[in-house]
Amino acid sequence: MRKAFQLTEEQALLKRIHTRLESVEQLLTNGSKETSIALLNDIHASLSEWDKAESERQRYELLSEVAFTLSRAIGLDDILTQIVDGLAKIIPFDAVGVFIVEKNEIAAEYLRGYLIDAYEKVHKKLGKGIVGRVVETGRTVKISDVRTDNDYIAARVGTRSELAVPMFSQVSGEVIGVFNLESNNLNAYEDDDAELVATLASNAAIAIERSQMYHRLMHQQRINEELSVARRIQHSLLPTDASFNGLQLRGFSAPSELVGGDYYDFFPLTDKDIGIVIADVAGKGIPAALIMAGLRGSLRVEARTVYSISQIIDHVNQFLYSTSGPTEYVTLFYGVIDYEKNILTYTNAGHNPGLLYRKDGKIEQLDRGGVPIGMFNDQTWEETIVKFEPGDHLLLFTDGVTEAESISGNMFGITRLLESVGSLRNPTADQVIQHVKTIAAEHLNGNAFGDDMTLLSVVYQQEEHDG
Amino acid sequence: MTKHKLAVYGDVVVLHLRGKLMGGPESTEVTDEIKANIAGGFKKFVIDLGDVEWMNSMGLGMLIGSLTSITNAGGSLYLARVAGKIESVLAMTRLSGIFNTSPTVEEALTKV
Repeated sequence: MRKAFQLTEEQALLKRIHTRLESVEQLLTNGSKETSIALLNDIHASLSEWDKAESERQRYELLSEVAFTLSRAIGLDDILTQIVDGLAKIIPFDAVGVFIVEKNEIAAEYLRGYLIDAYEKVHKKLGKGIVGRVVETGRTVKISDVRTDNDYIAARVGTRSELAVPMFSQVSGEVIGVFNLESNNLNAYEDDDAELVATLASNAAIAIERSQMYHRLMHQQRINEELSVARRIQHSLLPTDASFNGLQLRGFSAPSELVGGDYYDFFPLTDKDIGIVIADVAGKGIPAALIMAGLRGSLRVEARTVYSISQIIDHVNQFLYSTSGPTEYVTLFYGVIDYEKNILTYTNAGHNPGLLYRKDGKIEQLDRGGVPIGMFNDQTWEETIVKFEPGDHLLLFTDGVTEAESISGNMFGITRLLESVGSLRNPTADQVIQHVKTIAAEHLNGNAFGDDMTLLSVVYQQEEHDG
Repeated sequence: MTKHKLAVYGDVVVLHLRGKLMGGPESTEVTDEIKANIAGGFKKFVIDLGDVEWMNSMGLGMLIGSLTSITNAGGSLYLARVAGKIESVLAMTRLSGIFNTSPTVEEALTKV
């Protein structure tokens, strides 16, 4: 890049002009006409040299001004307008197009000096015309007479010369845009004009790439905000811990991402029984969360209107089967606790077994039922009745718990759940949840959860139950 | 990372799956492979799971998706060498009955 003309050089020039002018004054009084003319010519030359230096200096001053303005612009439209405004101060043109190129297509553009019906032709320039050539080669194209260039696409009638300069990414070095200047004069552009435009282009590239990054960040931030709202909504779908008629119900759910496909729920059905459910939607994140919300609604509605558990699951299965593909399915444990008769009726649709810890220390695995729901439309689910009495407690969990992987790659496993929770004597539901969380965290030892992890504990208290 | 292999024995397509079936891009690879072979006129498939170490819900979804595509096309699928983790996942989800299984690939070839 050419250096701006130094001020000291300008001062020397001015001094020379001044001396010459003094000589002219003397000659005009007593010298010959020829010598005077020669001297005047010399002065004229010095003056135009000074002019050139001065305009050069001004252009670079303007350039740094534009660069400064650009450094504060954020919006792409704003940046492009300022680039063209700045360009107009520095280099004369009759039409200008600034094109931002992404994946070989015009992602944004700023046009000035073209008639509206010529718009299509301007567009054709990319890929075919001179602008396309610049994108492809990354080299400046300077045409002194467009009538002699085959690549030129006439987007304007008056154009005689053209200057197209690539704009390079300051990150990757790839061509990310083109500055295209058109003039009605022949030979309008010199090499130093091209240099100047290139300098402006690299400043513009910084501003444009910063703007793009800013907008990507804003976009990401908006997605994150929406995800937070989704997480809040999902969390509000979980029931509040409850205790009644000697039953304590406590749940815990931690999605591995902001939202997840696990959930637990419980809801009173009549004045003597309560429905409990834990479910795990295949997959993670938003898709799983949406299926989960649909499933929860469907199950709550069915549970209130249909008595038979196998029928409820059958209906929910039909709903899920009809709304999702075969690879979108749910494993689920659904049960109804009748606290008058002290029985639990359940069906297990391909879910991890429910763990029933008996008062006498025995543990039953509740694993009867059928396949996961949402996979097939011709399956049935059997229901099983077990005793659920004061002093017993039930733990439901998702595979995020048993498959919690330590740094060394060991799975938490079901044995730990059976033994460790089984060793608790008359625990409260809170204690069960806390205990599992603690031993799972110890197992993970700082490793992140790879999957959603959900727990539901139902403790049938001995002393508080009045029979 | 799973690297799958595909072999054809007569009119049976055998897919040897390896590594972990965790719903990554390799899952789509398998279902695409099966769909392509169905489109190519094949109806008999064997998925060899002997070298699969681990499978999660997405991997299971992939197997179900494969079974659905094959059944809908009037074909049949056998899972061969189902053991360890895969066996326990199929048992827990009670899907063992849904799939035809066989202890060896050779046996699956004769049954499918």
